[in-house]
Amino acid sequence: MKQKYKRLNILLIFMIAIGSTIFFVLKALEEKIVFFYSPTEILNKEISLSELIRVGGLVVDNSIVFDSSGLEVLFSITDKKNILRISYKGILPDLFREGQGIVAEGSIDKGKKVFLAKKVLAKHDENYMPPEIEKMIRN
Amino acid sequence: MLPEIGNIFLIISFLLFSAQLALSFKFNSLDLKYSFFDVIKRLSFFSYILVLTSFFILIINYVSSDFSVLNVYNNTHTNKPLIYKITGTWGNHEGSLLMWLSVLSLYGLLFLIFIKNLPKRFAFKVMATLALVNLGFVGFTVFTSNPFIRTFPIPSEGLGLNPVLQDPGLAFHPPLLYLGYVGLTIPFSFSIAALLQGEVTREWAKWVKPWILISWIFLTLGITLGSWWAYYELGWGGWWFWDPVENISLLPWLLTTALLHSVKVTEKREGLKSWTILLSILAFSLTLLGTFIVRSGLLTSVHAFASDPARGIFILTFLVIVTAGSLLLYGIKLEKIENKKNIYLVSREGGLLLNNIFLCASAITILLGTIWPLVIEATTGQDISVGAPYFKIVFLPLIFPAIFLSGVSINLNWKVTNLDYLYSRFWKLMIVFIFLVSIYYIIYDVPVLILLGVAATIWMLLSVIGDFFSKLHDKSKGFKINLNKTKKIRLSIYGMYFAHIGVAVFILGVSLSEGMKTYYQGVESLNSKIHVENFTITFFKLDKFKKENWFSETGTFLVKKNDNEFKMKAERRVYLDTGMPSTEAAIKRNFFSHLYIVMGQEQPIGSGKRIIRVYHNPHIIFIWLGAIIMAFGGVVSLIDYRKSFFRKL
Amino acid sequence: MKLLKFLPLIIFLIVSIFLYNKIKYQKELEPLSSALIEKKFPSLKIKSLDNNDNINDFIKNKFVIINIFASWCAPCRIEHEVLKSFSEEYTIVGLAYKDSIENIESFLLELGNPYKKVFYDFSGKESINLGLYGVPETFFVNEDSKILYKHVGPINKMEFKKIISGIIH
Repeated sequence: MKQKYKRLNILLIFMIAIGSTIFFVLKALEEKIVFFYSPTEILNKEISLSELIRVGGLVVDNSIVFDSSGLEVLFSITDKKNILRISYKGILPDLFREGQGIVAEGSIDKGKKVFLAKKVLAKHDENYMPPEIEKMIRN
Repeated sequence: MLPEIGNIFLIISFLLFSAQLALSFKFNSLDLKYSFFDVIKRLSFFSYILVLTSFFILIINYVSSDFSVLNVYNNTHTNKPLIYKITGTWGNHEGSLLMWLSVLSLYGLLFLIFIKNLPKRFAFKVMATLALVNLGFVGFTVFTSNPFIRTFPIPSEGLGLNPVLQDPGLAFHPPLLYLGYVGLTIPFSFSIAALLQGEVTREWAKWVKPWILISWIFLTLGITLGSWWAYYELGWGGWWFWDPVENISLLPWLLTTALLHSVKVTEKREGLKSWTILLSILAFSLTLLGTFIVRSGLLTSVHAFASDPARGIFILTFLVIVTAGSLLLYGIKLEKIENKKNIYLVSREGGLLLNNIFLCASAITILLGTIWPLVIEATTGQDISVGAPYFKIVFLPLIFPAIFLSGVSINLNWKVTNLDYLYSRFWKLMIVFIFLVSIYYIIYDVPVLILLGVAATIWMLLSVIGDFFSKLHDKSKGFKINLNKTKKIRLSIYGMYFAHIGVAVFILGVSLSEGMKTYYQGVESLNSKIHVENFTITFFKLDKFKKENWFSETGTFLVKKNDNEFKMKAERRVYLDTGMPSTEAAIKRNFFSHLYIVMGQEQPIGSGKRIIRVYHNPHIIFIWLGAIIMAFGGVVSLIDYRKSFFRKL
Repeated sequence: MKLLKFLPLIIFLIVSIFLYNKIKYQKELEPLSSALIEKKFPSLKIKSLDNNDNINDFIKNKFVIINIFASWCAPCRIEHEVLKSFSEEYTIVGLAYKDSIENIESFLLELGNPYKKVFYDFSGKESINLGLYGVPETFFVNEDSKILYKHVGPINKMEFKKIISGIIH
């Protein structure tokens, strides 16, 4: 009797641990995932202003402009259908250049005019194309 | 000629492994004769030597810059220093795979050295499993990623190597990590052999323990070095980015840590047998899964090799054969090996089991977060990414209980269930714990998360100290402590203490540096001043000059703290052969803290202004120091296990 | 309870089927060789050897093949024969990378000249904008100055024909 009780105890703790973990993880996944959009999708989708999202595309030629302070940089990315203006304050990654596929993380401005990037990611390999961007350009 | 020899050696070893495997199947049911066992042993010895030789040949090709070999042409350059010519061998897909294979052969040879201590029937099965794994990897190398393919016409100069990879940290990070990953093949093979035998004994646990420990030490060091490299080379100021490939490397570590603890239960109490077996199968499968994900280019990562779906299919097939086969075997034999013994919750094994559950749960959450983008993409077509916020929020709540439990379970005895004992043991520890945490809080008044981290550190340290003192206790002399008893404590126990202290130091580093780091970013022209914490930083000078194979812009910064003044140099390089820029941060460390300056390019061009980023990361060194102490603890334990290694049956 | 024993196996098989589907989809994508592909040829400060024409002006409204070479580069010598065999059919332009006038002249004198015009980038700095990986490299650029294809390393006749037919289709 006593042994059975103990077994049940362990099983119960086990179940609670697994159950709460799964619940917790799914909830976190629901809240913390960051959606990836192309410039076209940004224009056509309902996206709330505060939502953290990623956009990706190729940096448009001759689109890189620094504001007079030098801290803020503006550039455009394209998926070959639409263009999105991006504003970023900070040091651009080493491999950031025109024609390169990049991913920016941040949120969209009112009226969807400018994307305010908190992070700009470019990869180490100049011939490497993030799969999301590759897929986007092909479609 | 040499590349052909290397190629032929690989092919011969492929044939030899096949032959070995076929023979093992055929003769498994027959009674083993000594001579036959010896034949198999020699066969595998010979194959391992062949593989190692072919890797050596590839290194020679790299050192001599033999550009007639396509792989060499693609990945090196005559102007490279010798050390990077050598390390360039494994800086690419084909070469790194051959290195993987060679490490596997090294472990195979090491196993053959210690084989005489094992029963023949068992050792025979281990060799057969090893042959299967080897066969898969040699086949993968020869058929999809042959590093010895020639190119014609012969180029006079190589294409060079990614400058980011020209770094000592990166040169030694893969070998260490591979030593860890590949080492898990041995516990895996031991588990398969035990399943085939249909019995898991305490002896078995003793045999397998050192091998698990070796892998764990190398995994710890490899991941640490990778994190250190990312911290100082990538110039992002962070030490862990929850990048898919980093996560994938963390998973085997978490499972191996769990395995180290559960095998202890199997050894001491004959408990958790099936769990130990399952863990070792899963840990090994996860390294294969990691290889699959990295080499097939399924996930976006800074570590991605140029991907090739054919390779992905091959590894996936291999992964399925090995893992599905093992898990099927596991399901069939489960009843035979299952322990009928009860595990009481309030005992060391109970604590270890719970601790194991938390470790595995945290591994599952990381795995889920890492592959979640693939799931969402497949079901909804949406591209998503799962970043640091997710991992932080799920990993922390799971790892804190694991830490708490680990502190509890060292202080429990095997098998005991008496709550009075638990109480008598813990009240003193608890009082000291609460006292120290309150003191810390009163003095520093820190945010909750730092406090939690510091509390976890204190708890971890106290639990080690508590156990140490209780071992020194002389029951005959009341409460006196007998220092002569320190010699009676086994070396492996000291190893465990060190490993746990390492964890404590690591947590301290993470919580203090994450909680107290400061960051500044601004546009600065020459001679402007920046104030960060109690540092005053002056952008003093900018030099432009040409170095060996890059063009350099070096910013000199004058840093003043109280009366102390020093210079720091941050560099931006543009490599001449590829035109790729690279940012070299300036790091000033006193022993515990780092001041970190990154200089961006001139913007707008012609203005003379540059974006300067300054990070101050206090106490960050504890992160890596903790990890090194952990690995050191592992080594200390390994010295103790050496006895069971050499002991004859 | 019987099935519980095989739970790890079942979970693993589901994961593998899923991964297999992913990789199968991935297989349908052909590799893109450069981020520059389908982009406009960048504007470069690169002049020709004979009369200082700018490269961008020269390639305007033409289908051109731009071959980056150097006299010190051995694979370029072998590739030279291939280029010569196509020089009647297509406009091939040379871009000498990190080289000197004397060396280029003797190089072309010795092996023949397949180029309609030879440009130079002796510092090697401008070629960075082309994402140059090493010499030789060959760019296929259409009438709108759009880069259609970039070939890294020496090119042979088969590859050359394959690229051309691939671009036309």
